[in-house]
Amino acid sequence: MAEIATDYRAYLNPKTLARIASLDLRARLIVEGLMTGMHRSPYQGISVEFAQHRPYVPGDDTRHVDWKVFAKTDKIYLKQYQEETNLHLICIVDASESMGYGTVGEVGAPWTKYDHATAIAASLSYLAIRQQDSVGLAIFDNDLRRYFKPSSSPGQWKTVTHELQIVPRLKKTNMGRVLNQLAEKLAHRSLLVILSDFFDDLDSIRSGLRHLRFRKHEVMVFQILDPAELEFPFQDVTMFKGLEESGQLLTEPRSLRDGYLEQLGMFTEKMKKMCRGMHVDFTRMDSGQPLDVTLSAFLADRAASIK
Amino acid sequence: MDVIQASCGAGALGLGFIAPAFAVAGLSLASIPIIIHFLNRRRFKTVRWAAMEFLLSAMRKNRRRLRFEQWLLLAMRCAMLLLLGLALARPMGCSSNSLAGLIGRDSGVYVLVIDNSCSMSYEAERQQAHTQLDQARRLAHDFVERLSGGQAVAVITTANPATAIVAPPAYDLKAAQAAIDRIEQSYAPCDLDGALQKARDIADSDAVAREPNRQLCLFTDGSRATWAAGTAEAVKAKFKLMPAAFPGGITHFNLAKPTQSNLSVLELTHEGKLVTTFFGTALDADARSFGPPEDVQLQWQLDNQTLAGSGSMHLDLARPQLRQAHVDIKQGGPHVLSLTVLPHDRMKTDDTRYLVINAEPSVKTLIVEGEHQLAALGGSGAFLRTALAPKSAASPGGEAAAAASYVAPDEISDLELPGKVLGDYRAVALCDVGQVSESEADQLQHYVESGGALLVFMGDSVSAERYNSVLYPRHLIPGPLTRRVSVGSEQRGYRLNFQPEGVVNPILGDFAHVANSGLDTAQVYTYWQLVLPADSKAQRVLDFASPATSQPAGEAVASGAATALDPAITLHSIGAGQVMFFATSADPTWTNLPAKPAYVTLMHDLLLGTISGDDAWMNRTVGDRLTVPANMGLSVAPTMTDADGRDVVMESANGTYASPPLQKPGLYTLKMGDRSVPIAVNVDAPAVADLRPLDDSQLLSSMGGVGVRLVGDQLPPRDETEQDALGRDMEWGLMAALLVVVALECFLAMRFGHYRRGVAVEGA
Repeated sequence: MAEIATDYRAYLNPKTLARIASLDLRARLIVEGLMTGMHRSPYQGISVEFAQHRPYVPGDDTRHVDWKVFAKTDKIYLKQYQEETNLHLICIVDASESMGYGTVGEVGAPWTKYDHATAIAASLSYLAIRQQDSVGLAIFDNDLRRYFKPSSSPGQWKTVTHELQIVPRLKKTNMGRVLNQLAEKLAHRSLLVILSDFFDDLDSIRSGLRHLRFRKHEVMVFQILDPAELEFPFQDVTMFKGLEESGQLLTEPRSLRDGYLEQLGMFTEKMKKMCRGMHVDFTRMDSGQPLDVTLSAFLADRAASIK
Repeated sequence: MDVIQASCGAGALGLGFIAPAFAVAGLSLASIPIIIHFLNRRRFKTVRWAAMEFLLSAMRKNRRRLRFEQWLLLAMRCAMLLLLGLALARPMGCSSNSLAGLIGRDSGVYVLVIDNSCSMSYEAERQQAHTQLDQARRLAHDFVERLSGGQAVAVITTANPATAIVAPPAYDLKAAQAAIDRIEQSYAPCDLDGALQKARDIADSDAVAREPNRQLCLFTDGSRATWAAGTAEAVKAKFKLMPAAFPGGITHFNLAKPTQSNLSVLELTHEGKLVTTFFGTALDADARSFGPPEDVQLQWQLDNQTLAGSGSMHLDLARPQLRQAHVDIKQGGPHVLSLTVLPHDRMKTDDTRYLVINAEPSVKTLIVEGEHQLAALGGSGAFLRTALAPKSAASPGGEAAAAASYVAPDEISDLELPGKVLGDYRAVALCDVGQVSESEADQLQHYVESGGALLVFMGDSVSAERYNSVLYPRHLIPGPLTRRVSVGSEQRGYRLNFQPEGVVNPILGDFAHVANSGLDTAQVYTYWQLVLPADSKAQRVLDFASPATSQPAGEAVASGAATALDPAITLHSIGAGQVMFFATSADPTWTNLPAKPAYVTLMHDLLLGTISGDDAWMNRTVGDRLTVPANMGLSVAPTMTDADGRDVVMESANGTYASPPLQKPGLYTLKMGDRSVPIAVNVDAPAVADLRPLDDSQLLSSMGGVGVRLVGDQLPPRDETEQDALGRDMEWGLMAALLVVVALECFLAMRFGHYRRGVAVEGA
């Protein structure tokens, strides 16, 4: 069993995942890898929401004791959960040109940020489908390209993986407009997982997120960045040609590195602050790091918030 | 250097370059970083980048700083190459300039010529220096002490032969000082010409010629022995080339004491080549005072016995009449004669002179008779024998008494010649010898070359063909025999071209101003004509005059018209020996000379004139090697000790033993088995004796009138003006600046472009 666990955990490494062409398989392997490393079922906590209290009766599971109430009242109450059999998980995946950047893995077929995003989207969708929750998908660049409303049907999974694999990445980003569009479109309260590098105007993003929050949707933001974008390892004189028509620059990278990292850090802080203000969960992901680090942290975070 | 000298003063930099080409190269190379910068902008990687906005923001924010850093690094890289070129160009600046004083250092090459010849053994009795050489060493040592790092020293000694003891110039000043301290007193004369040539060779060498500050310093006693000797003209000519070789200047440290003078025994000789126990010899000497005339005691000693004739003498510069008219030496073998001037002066080495005289009890002479006669006085050999060693009246016992002559003749037939050891004889006379084989001729050649004397007399048996094919190729006759010249029975014979009142060959000196000796009237009826080659070095002792029939009686052709006259007697050298050729016979068959009173004296004179003195090898001059003659008959290897009893190693080569050059004067002892022979080693007194100092104008004249700084026997204080003119070499200062710039560039490059791995901006 330990050997099987080791093998599955290997599939959490982007370099390994890059060699697996099928998104479907990637997602399954990621989930299996997660399960191997976790003591509890990853299903739990992803979509269970607190409903009410009831008094403790001897023999009940003490894991659900509400200790805050005990502290206030000296009486033992258990939390009762309302299963979200109708949880709507919608993965919103940025398919703009900038998401096509990647330096991880082999030179000819690198693991891009989009690969990373689709792997996460597919994994989360797989987890939700297994739990009979509804899964939806939105793919965007400068417009909402593809939208599939949440569904719990078995075929939905295949639709998600299929769509994520075929969408080309050519256009610029306009996240603000897309989020606003989605906010108008969505009929039910949903859990929205936005997977993007967020290389867009912050105000536009802010307005989109605000609209979504206004509509009572729960939003989780995953900013995916390539290791090169995070570390800026370039040495020699380089001509940087921006994706999404963002210009070009011939420079000596070593002298500009500190300044670039400073700018990136300032942007990240602004994003964090913005998300915090709107009660949006923000997670930065390094597309070169194994997925379990981030996904496990995300799932644990979810479990903690439910308590 | 001219640029520096012209512009130095009042703190001016006065910059000049030793190798300006490097400065130009540095300027050119300083453009390389700029070129690389532009090339780099054309060669770059292209990266498609997503986070462009952050990059552009960073650029906008840091544009100025980045530009400054780039310019700064570029300037430093250009400065590095420029500094390198400048440093290699070796800029020289004025000493008074603060920049040059800060970063420059003194440079220069100093060639020290130190006189360690015999004259420098003069005891000047300075407080810290006993002799002139002691003072010269001390001065030179202190001179080097004043030099600093970056300055190099070469040292040359002048004792013949001049030697460069530190060359090429050494930057290790301590080692140079040690070499100076080790300079030994030599007793050889001064080879100033050779020393100056070596100095010039050093100055012109590739390594030294680039150094602008090349200086020559001479340390001598300023005496005539050093500066007015035989090579004075050569020294003067050499000096005229010195300013170009030593642009930094020439300094002469004159150690002379104004009153220095010297008494010297210049020469000691015996009369004639041969000294025998039969008759005494006269001794001649030359002793002088080089300085004020002095009354001295002259001590003649023979084998440590004082001779009569020793006594007080007034010596001055003129050659005195110093002669011991007759000294009897009764015992054969080597004897030591010495002449000493007392009291000893401040240079003792030439106060005494030695002469080893080898007194011969007899001169063994081998007379080879070519004509086979048994009658008394038959053959020319018998006549020669009788002339050289007439027998006294027979004793009552019938045997002839011992010969009353120093010559001990041994007469043999030519048929016995091969069986004789020629080395046993001082002279060999061939009298009318017709046939000489090749081996006999080889034997004779070797004999003469080893120092033997050969006399060749003609006669009826002589075959020109044989002599020309056997003896002439071996130089045993001075030229080929051409024809036999005879006069008819009715004709008068040829006369010898001799005039007692005219120019007389020294060998015939006994006949000068002697009338009626018969030498001028003797007639020669037959002689062998001999042609001397044009390049012949044979000496014409006496020629034949024209045939008597064509000349009035008593007249002779002037001896100056030699080429028209046939030689009668010639003398030439082969190796260490000599050959006397007599064109006619030694007996009356061809000439009536034997009947003349002059005959006996003539034969003795010819013998003595041919024999080489055999004590020359026992009298050496400092610097000579001693070579033991081959005819010593060594049975064991010889050993030698010097005057102080120290061993002198003898070297052997091809059966000959020789010493290394003898460095010290005095009386040496050579042991050859159970024989012990004294060897006299004297200084070359005529070359070293005249210690009278030259005054400054005479010195400058001896130096060809070039600009030489004359200094006394002390180091002068350092002349700041002179130092300023020399310039300071800023090479090392610029190199240090270059290193600082390199270090700074490395630090700044690292600082500006430092890449910190693994420090990414942290996530939520």
